[in-house]
Amino acid sequence: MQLDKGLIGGSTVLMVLSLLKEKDCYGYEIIRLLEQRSDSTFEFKEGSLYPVLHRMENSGYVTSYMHTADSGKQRRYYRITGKGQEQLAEERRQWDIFSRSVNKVIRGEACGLV
Amino acid sequence: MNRKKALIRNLALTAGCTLLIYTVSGFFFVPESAFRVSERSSHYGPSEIVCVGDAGSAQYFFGSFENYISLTEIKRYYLPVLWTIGNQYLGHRRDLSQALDPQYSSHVLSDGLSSAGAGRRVIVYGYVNDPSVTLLELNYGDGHVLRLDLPDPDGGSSAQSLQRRVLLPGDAAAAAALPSDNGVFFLFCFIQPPDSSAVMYYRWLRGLSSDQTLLYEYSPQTGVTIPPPDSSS
Amino acid sequence: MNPTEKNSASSSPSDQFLSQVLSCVRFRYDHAVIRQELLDHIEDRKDNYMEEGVKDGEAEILAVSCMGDARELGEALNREHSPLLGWIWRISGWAASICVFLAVVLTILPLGHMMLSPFINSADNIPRDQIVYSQKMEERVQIDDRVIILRKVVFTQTDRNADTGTLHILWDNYEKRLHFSGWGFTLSDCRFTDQSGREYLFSGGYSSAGPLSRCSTELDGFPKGAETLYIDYDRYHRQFHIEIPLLPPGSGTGPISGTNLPGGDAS
Repeated sequence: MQLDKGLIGGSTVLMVLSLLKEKDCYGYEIIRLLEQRSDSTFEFKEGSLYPVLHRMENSGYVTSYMHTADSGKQRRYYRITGKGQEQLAEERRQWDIFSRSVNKVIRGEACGLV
Repeated sequence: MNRKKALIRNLALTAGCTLLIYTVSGFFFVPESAFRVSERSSHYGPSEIVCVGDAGSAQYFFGSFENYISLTEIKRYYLPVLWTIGNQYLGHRRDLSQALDPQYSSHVLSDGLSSAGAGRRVIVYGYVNDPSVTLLELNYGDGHVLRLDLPDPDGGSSAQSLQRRVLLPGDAAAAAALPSDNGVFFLFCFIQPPDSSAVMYYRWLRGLSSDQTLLYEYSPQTGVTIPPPDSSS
Repeated sequence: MNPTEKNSASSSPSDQFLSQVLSCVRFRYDHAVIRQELLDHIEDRKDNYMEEGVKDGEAEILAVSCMGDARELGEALNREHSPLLGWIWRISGWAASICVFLAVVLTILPLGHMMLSPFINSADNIPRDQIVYSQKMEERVQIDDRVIILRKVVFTQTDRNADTGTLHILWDNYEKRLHFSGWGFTLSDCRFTDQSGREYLFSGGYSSAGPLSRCSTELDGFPKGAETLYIDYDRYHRQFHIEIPLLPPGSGTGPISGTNLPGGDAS
């Protein structure tokens, strides 16, 4: 399914930061996790993940380091920082507000009855 | 660490280390600060800088403090921007009763090979207290003579800053004079080659009047002589 | 940069893709890192396809196509790798390395060497069996930026029956300026007299280098029964005058602590 790019773009940072909060990952790993968890709803152009990761690193939300992956090869891992954790919390809050507001609008008649 | 943080860290390190070098090390970025530190830690001065002789690899500060004159050498360290304190000759009391009162010092220019080095740089400096002396001649080495025309004692610029920079070229001779509040300051600088069998510092220094009459003669061996009226140079 | 400049017969789809991406990234010092990361990703995706049974060459083409448009990706990456910031960061790295190197060579190494010196106590050089009396004190004077602290005087004799011996003055000095440069200081320019007015000459001494200089000055021919030592300095409008009451053995106990060894002449 091809979702509107705007939606994907806006919440990419939120999703990537949530994944990194659980554990450090490298780029390909993040793509695989996104595919698996979203039941393949999101199919990026995979390359577009990297500008996002680099921008997050410039902003100080993540740091990167080289590490040997399970496959035995060297990969660039990303780790969330304290600043990134704060940003994650903020984006989740905004996402909650956003999705609740959208839901309210969509189910406007039902809201009145709740 | 992201690039911005690394940049800030690098700038902080640069600033911190520069500050450390500037304040703590024995090296200076400005020769004049080296001169001031050299004076103050010898508990002399503070002198007025009469003249600065620039010899490329070293600068010579000629200072006047009350009735004393001094010479301080500030040398370059290995890097082009660093200076360090060299030799210091302090507090020669000026003899105002003498018309010609030269001080002299010399040191070996090292060429890293022998103790005689690349020769000796000899500096002869002092004040002329007799306004009728208008020309100085210095005889050194194998008969070389340096001539120096002296400016008027009230050279007009004596009221302004007296710090003058004189170039002391490496392989030639130089001479300079400045009027100052203390009389006319003179400076000769020359190089004696290493194997010179010539006299150690210089042979004689003569002060002549405007009509070429010999008024005074000074040699390091005998001191000041005032030639009798019928002697000629 | 011409994206097709490489001979397409010899370069793989990955190489073509990557050079197209990198052609849009202006700061070339980041090219190697970006290239490696994207290449790793393409390889992982290619391995994934090969596990599913796709053949090598086709897997690679598929993997590259998954990455998306090369030019778009290159532009997006270029926005995150600013050449201005990159250059400033590189230059700052050089400046920092040079300055740290200079700081270590010019300050920390010499400082470390000098710091060890104060721990060599100059008083240890005085032969213990020659000590007749020693006396601690804390006399401070300052000239210009230098603080001079007299700590101890020790009187020694090689022959205990003689009238004179050597007086050792142990003192420290430091300069309040931050520069650890400049000249050291000895007491050789001072005048040393006792209560009778007789003058004694500086006969030797030594001092340690470093920010705190520990020094020792010796006066030969100093009388055993001297009661006071006067130290006078007067040069170029700096002066100080120090009086040190001395307690030779047999002169009774005094408020100043000292060690009076037995066997001395009763005065």
